[in-house]
Order: sequence, then structure tokens, then C-alpha cells
Amino acid sequence: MSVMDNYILQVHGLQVTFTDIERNEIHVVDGVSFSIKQGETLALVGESGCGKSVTSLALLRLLDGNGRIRGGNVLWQGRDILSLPLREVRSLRGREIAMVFQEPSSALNPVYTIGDQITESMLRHQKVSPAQAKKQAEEMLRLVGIPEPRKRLEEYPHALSGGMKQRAMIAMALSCRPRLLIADEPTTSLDVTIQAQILELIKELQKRFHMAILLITHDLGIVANMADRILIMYAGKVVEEGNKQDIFRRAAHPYTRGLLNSIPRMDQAKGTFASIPGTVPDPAHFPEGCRFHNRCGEFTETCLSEPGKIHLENEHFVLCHYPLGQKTLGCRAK
Amino acid sequence: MTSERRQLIRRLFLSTSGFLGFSLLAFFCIVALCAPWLAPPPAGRDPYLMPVVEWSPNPQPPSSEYIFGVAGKRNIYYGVIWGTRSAFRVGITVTVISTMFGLLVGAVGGYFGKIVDEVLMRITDIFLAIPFLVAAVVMATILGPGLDNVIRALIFFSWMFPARLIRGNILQIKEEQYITAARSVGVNHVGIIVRHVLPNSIFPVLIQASMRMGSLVITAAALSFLGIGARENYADWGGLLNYARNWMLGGGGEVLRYWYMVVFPGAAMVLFVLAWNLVGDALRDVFDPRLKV
Amino acid sequence: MFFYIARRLLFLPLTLFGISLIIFFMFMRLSPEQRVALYITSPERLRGDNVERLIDLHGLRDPWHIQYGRWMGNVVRGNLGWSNVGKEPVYSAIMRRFPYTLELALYSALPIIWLGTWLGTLSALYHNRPLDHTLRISAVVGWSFPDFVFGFFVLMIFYSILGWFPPGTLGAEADAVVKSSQFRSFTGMVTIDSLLNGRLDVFIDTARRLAGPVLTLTYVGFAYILRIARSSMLEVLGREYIRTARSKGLEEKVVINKHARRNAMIPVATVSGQTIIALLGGTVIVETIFNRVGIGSFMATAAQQLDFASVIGGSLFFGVILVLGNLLVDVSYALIDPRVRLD
Ligand SMILES: Nc1ncnc2c1ncn2[C@@H]1O[C@H](COP(=O)(O)OP(=O)(O)O)[C@@H](O)[C@H]1O
Ligand SMILES: [Mg+2]
Repeated sequence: MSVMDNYILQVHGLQVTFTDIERNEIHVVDGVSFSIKQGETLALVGESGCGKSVTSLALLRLLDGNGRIRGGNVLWQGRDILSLPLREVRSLRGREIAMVFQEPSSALNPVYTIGDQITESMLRHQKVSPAQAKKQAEEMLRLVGIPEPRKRLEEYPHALSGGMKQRAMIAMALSCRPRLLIADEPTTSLDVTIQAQILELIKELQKRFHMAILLITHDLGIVANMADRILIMYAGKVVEEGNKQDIFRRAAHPYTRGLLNSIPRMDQAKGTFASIPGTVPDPAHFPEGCRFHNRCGEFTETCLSEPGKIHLENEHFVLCHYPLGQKTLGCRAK
Repeated sequence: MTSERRQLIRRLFLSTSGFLGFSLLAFFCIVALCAPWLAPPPAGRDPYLMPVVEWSPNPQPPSSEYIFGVAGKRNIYYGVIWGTRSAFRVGITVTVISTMFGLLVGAVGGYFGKIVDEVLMRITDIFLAIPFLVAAVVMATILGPGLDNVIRALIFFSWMFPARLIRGNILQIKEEQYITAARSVGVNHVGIIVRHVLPNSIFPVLIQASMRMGSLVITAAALSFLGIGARENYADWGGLLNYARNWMLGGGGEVLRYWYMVVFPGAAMVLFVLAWNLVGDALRDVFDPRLKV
Repeated sequence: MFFYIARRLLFLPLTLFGISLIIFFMFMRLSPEQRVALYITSPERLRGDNVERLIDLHGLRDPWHIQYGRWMGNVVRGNLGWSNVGKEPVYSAIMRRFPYTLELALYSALPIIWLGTWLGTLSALYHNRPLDHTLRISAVVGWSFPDFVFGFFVLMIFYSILGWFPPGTLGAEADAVVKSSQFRSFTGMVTIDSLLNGRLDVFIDTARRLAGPVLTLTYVGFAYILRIARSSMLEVLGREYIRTARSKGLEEKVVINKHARRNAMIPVATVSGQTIIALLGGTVIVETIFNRVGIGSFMATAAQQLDFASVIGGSLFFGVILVLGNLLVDVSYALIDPRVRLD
């Protein structure tokens, strides 16, 4: 990629494995690369189980105990997070890169008050007194649209509704003004009307704080509304990448087409896609060659071999033997 | 499915605790089965009554004739060997009967729910509110001595544990079934209990039972140790330890002289209980999905 | 919080009623002649052919519900019958012994809960590493040790060989001091009273004698807490809020000690009630082995001598103590878990 762009985060060839009970190493994320520019929103899209969450957790080395990063690098302003001492990674977490998770009810600690959990990261990263932190926390709660913020500070998570909890989560994540927000399916667990409000809130705060967002979702409807660029992930690999227009107008991968076709019919609760037959394969048994071949309408024998990455137009790439809508095969990218 | 199950069973036997536990259990089974050959009883006598081998009431340390020593005029070795049978008898009888009764109570409570459940659970709580050993002491005192009475007393105060477990499982499954039941039509709850709940609860119940086996055998032995359990001179580990009591407490600083009266029956008991606990531990590691990884 | 405790309080009399019923039906299996001891207040009355008259007087052949009412009436007034073993009314025999048992139970409960929680957490943090395996094995072994076997070992090692922890409640000298008129009793617990009276020698004597039983109860009891603390810590460490805490950049120490520990303590708090129940049962054995004064050894002796009134009085007393103890545990549980507190 070109050097002139002001990327704040660059990920190259990320490899993640998990060790299962039988001590086998299972490749869950296999060579994922992408980059994020200052202030932009990059959407990471794919069905459940594709490895989106694992990818995002690996960026901050937050994988579970049985997870290992087996390769690649994650450059944050020129420094490789994967080879920094853990102490320095910790000082990045929450301060420069913050996260919002899918299920606010389980992501908030039930035995501490909202106020305690918000001020905690300010006290960790900024030179503020507890009283100042509390004041700022109240301000944050007001900013994310929680009524009676002072009272809420003293409340426990279970006293808040799902939408309010997610707002509190967002307040917590943004309390140190991070430059990148990783939002892992931030609205999946919420009602449709509340989803829209939360997304609107995120957009508004993004403008206000000039931060970049890595938005993880399985819902292309959300993507249309939020994203600048889009990354389509399938079975641990990025299968298509491009800006919003490229993907929505000229999707090249059959999987992306499938996702697009299913937007209105999507079953919210399950994150499955009506128009693509079958399910995401289990990482222990990824198919040979193109990993999508067993669900693909364009399947030929060629698909049993590994596809190469193809450069279609300016920033549009695809990983497929038969990219759709391309009269001629584009030149192969390096 | 079957290969998965086979793999689980392989893991069960190959884990350290599983291997040790099952080996110990096998050893005790062999001892119990071979008791008539390992310690031949005098002809025509009840083998469970330890025969008198010495006329002096003083304990005697291990010798070539009595390898574990003599206590209360009885051969400790004989008591340890035949006591294995008593331990199995108490442990298995109490566990099986109390588990079945507990299953019934738990299933009824979980299935009918509401008031029935509330009442049954209150009763369960009440039974749990008396310390197990204290309750067993009262019951055994009232019923009088004898291993059968010990078994009765223990059953009476140990059905609550499986009852709670099975009730919890039923409630959980009912909740899950509720969702699918909304979609399908005409769900037969009894059928669900028999076909889904019981098979799913088998392993938790087994794990709990094997863990409980240990504490039951300990409590039975405690009763005998206190002199209100098995009849005097009955082949029973707790009873052997009861002989030790007077010598150790009255013996002042000489406790150590009578070590063999404690060490041999004590070791048998610890290993026996350990075996069941290890098996329970291994079962839990393999079958409790919450603790995987 | 209020409703939660109110609910518990509401069930309190119900539970006590249930316990009394269980005990009542157990002793109704005894013959009226055996049951007489439960009603009388002094042994003289039992002489000669009085027994038959007493059976009539206390209506021991009446229908069970009438007998139950009469017995409960007695119990509520503190009349638990005559103790042959104690040579005094059961109630005062129990009350005199209670401080000793309470003392033993308190000193054992603290290390059991503290040690169990600490080691269980450690075990979870070193999951599947050598430390974890070592701790788990020692827990399973501890769990498998009957208290009377372990108690004998403690006697052999710490008394016979090392001479550190003698059995008994008090040595002859200390006993004389405690019984003298200068020695004021504040709590009935000798460790505390001796300090309040400024008698360090008595304190040391009683502490040495307490050490053996406490060691025994602790070793046999900590394993259960360890197991619960370990598995609940493991479970909590896999929760999403732990990941959230880490994503905020918190130090691992804070993540564990603040965010994980408190949640992991909730199940530990629930079972610590059960642990104390088991502990009180354990005093029956341990007080007997170490030859201590207490309700446990009182019940054991009474059981051997078929002193039914004492056995039944003791169990009733244990039941009441436990119900009250569990209430305390429930309240402390509410203090840890705000979801319960605010219900
Ligand atoms: N701790 C773990 N141990 C083993 N496998 C895991 C673990 N976490 C995630 N996985 C597996 O990694 C794959 C990708 O998961 P994830 O990244 O959560 O998917 P999603 O795209 O829905 O976020 C899934 O197949 C999941 O089963
Ligand atoms: Mg996910």
C-alpha cells in the first residue's frame, strides 16, 4: 500500500490459533491484513464464527488463555503492538485504543457501580483526582445521552436497560478520548429502534472526538450507514476489501454478493443469512482451497486450489478464482 | 457421537486422577472379593465378626503372625480386609437408595413446580439445616447399634443432595424446552423428563454420587468410632479405630506406641475415600462443560 | 435488601418448626419409658415405680400432635429434660459448653475460609500448571481424610513427638485459675477472657490446646472451599467483564483482585454456610479425640450412654445455631452481590 496515507493502524498477515482440549492447534485467523486511517470507519463484516472478534482481540493481545498469535504484526503509529512489552500494551489499551463489546450486560462488571467502572480507566491513564474523574464521568454519561447522569454513576449495571448499559459502555470506552474505537457488534443485542440510536450516537461522537472506528458486524445494513471502507471476512480470511461504493455496487466475491442479497431477510437474532446455504465451517475443518467453495454457486474444480488475492480497481481487492462481474480477470496483486 | 463418547471415556481413564482413582477402586474391589482367601474366617462363624485371637486386652504391635498388629484382642489385618466389604456395603447401599429417592423428590418438584416445588424445597432445606454427622448421631442412637441402622440413618439424611441437583437440571431444561415448545406442538413433559432431563443429568448425578460416597463412608466410620455405629467387634474400619481411642486418650504421652491401631485402618479408609473422590474429580473434569478448556 | 432479609426472617420460624418436627418424629420411635428423661427436671423423680406415673403425668401415650405441643411448650421454656451425662438439666449443660464449641468453631472457620479462598484463587490463576496440580491433589487428599484419622495423626506428631499441642481444654493450673473467684468471665471463651483478665499464661495454655483441633478441622475443611473458590474463579476469569477490565488497560493485579475476586467470592460465600455446618458436626469427633469440653463431645458421650435427652437437646441446639448462622451468611452474601441487595 502507498506510504502517503496517514494510517494509524496497520495489520499485516495476522495469524491466530487456539489450542483445544485435545491440545491440537486450530488456526482461526489466517493471514488477515488491513489498515485504518485517522478518523475513518472500517467495517469488518462476516457471519458469526468467521473470526472477527478474535481478530479484534488479537490487536490488543486480549485473547483468551488458549489463544496464540502465531504471526504477523500490528503497527500502531509505527510500533508493533505484538512485540511491545505487555506493560506498554496496557498503557495503550483504554487510552489510545478502546473497545466496546457486543453484550453490555455481560461486559459490565455486575458488582461495581457504573461510576466506578468509568472512572477506573481515567484514574489509570490520566493524572486526575477521584473527584475530577467522577465529574468527567458524569459529563461522559451526559454526552452519551443517559438521563440523570449523577444518579446513574451510583447505580449498578443491572439497574439499567440494555440500551442504557451500552451507552454506559461507550462512555467508559471514550472516557480517555481514544484515537481508535473497536466496536464489536455494538448493537447486535439491542432492539432495532435502540440500535439506530446507538449507531447515531457513535457517529456523532466519532465526529466530535476525531477518532477512527473498527466496526465489527454481521449486518450489512449497518455498514451502509456507517462505514467508509469495508472488509469482508470468511473463515479466518479476508475475502474482499474495498470502499463502500466498490462493495455495494461492484461486489466481486460470491460470498459478498450473498451477504448483500440477504440484507432485508436477515435473521437478527442468529446472524445467519437466508440466501447463503449452509453454515460457516468449524475452524478445525476448514475446506481445502477456497474456503467458501462448499457453499458457493460458482464452484468449479479450480476452487479446490488456493485462490490468490486479485486487485480489481483502486482499493478494491478480492480473494477468489472467479470474481463476479469482472469481464476479464484483473491483474493479480502481489 | 459414539466415537466422541469413546474419546471422553479414554480421557477419563487417562487423566491422572481418573487413572489413580479407578486403579485404587479396582484394588479395593479385589480385596473385598477375595476376603475369604486373604483372611480366612474360622469355619462355621460369621466372617463379619472379628474372631478373638489373643486373651490379653493389650494392643500388640505388628508381628510376623499379625502383620498389622492386634487391637481389642482382634487381628487388625482381618478387620481391615473384611472391613472393605462393610465400606462398600454402606457406601453403595446408601448412595444408590438416597440417589433414587432424591431423584424422585427432585423430579417431582422440578416437574410440578410452583407450590409443590416450594414445599419440597423447604423440606429439603430443613433436612439440610442439621449437621449431617449430628443428625446421623441422633438417628443412630435412637435406632440402636448395627450396620443396617447406620445405613438407615445415613439414607434418611442424604437424599437432599441429589434432589437439589436434579431439580436444578429439570428447571433449566424446562426453561430451554419452553422456547422450543412454543414452536412445536403438544409437548409431553414426562416424556421430556425421561428422554432429555435424566440422560443429561446422569453425569452430574454420578459425579455427585461418587463424591458423596467418600463422605458417607467417613460418616459411617465416625459413628462406629464413637461407638454408636456397627456392633462391637464387627469388621469395620471405624470400629477398629474405636479400639484405638481409649488407648490413645488414656495413654498420655504414649500415643505414638499404638500407631498401628490408627495407621492401618486409617490408611484403608483414606485410600478408599480418596479413590471415590479421584473418580469424581476425573468425571467432573471430563463431563462438566463449564470447566472445559 | 429489605425484602430479601424479611423473606429469610419469615422462613426462620418455619425452618425451626420443621427441624423440631424431624427431631420429634425421630425420638417418637423410643418407648415412653425412654422418653421420660426428656420431660423431667431432676433425676430423683425417676426412682422406683415413679416412671409409670411420670408417663401418665406427661401424657406420653397421648396422640402425637398433643405430645408434640406439650414437648414444644417445654422446649420453648428452656426445659430440655435431665442430662444423665451432665448430671444437670440439658439446657444448662449445653449452655455451659457452648462457648467452648463456639471458640473452636470460630478459630477453625477463619483459616478454612481464608486459606481455601486464597489457595483456590492461586490454583485458578495457575490453571493446569504444577502449582495448580499440587494444590488440587492436596485438596482431594485433605477432603478424603476423615477428621478422626487426621486428628490421631495430629496427636501423634504434635503431642507425642513434638510435645507442642497437648489434648484437653485446659491444664490443671490454668483450670484452677479459671475456676478461681478472681477470674472474671466475660464471654465464656477462655482465649478472650484470659486476655481480658491479663492472664497470658492461661491464654497460652488454652491456645496450645486449641491448636490441634483447629489444625484438624482446618485441614479437613479447607479443601471444599478451595475447590469452590478455584472453579468459581476459573469461571469468572472467562467472563466478558474481565476482558473489558483488561481492555481498559488495568494492571493484571487490579483485574484479579478487584474485578475477578469479588465475583468469585459470591459462590464461596454461599458454601461457607455449609462449611460451618460441617464444621459444627466435626466438633463431635474432634472434641472427642482431643478430649475437650464442648457440645460435640457432650453429644458423643451422651450417645454412647444412651442419654437421649442430651442427644436430642444437643441436636436441637445445633439446628437452631445453624439456622441463625445461615441467616448471617445470607446477609453477608447480599453485601457482596448488589443484584441481591437491590432486589
Ligand atoms: N477461546 C477460544 N477457544 C477456542 N476457540 C475459540 C475461542 N474463541 C473463539 N474461538 C473460535 O474462533 C472462531 C471465530 O470466533 P469469533 O472471532 O468469535 O467469531 P465472530 O466472527 O463471530 O466474532 C469460532 O469458530 C470460535 O469457535
Ligand atoms: Mg463475535
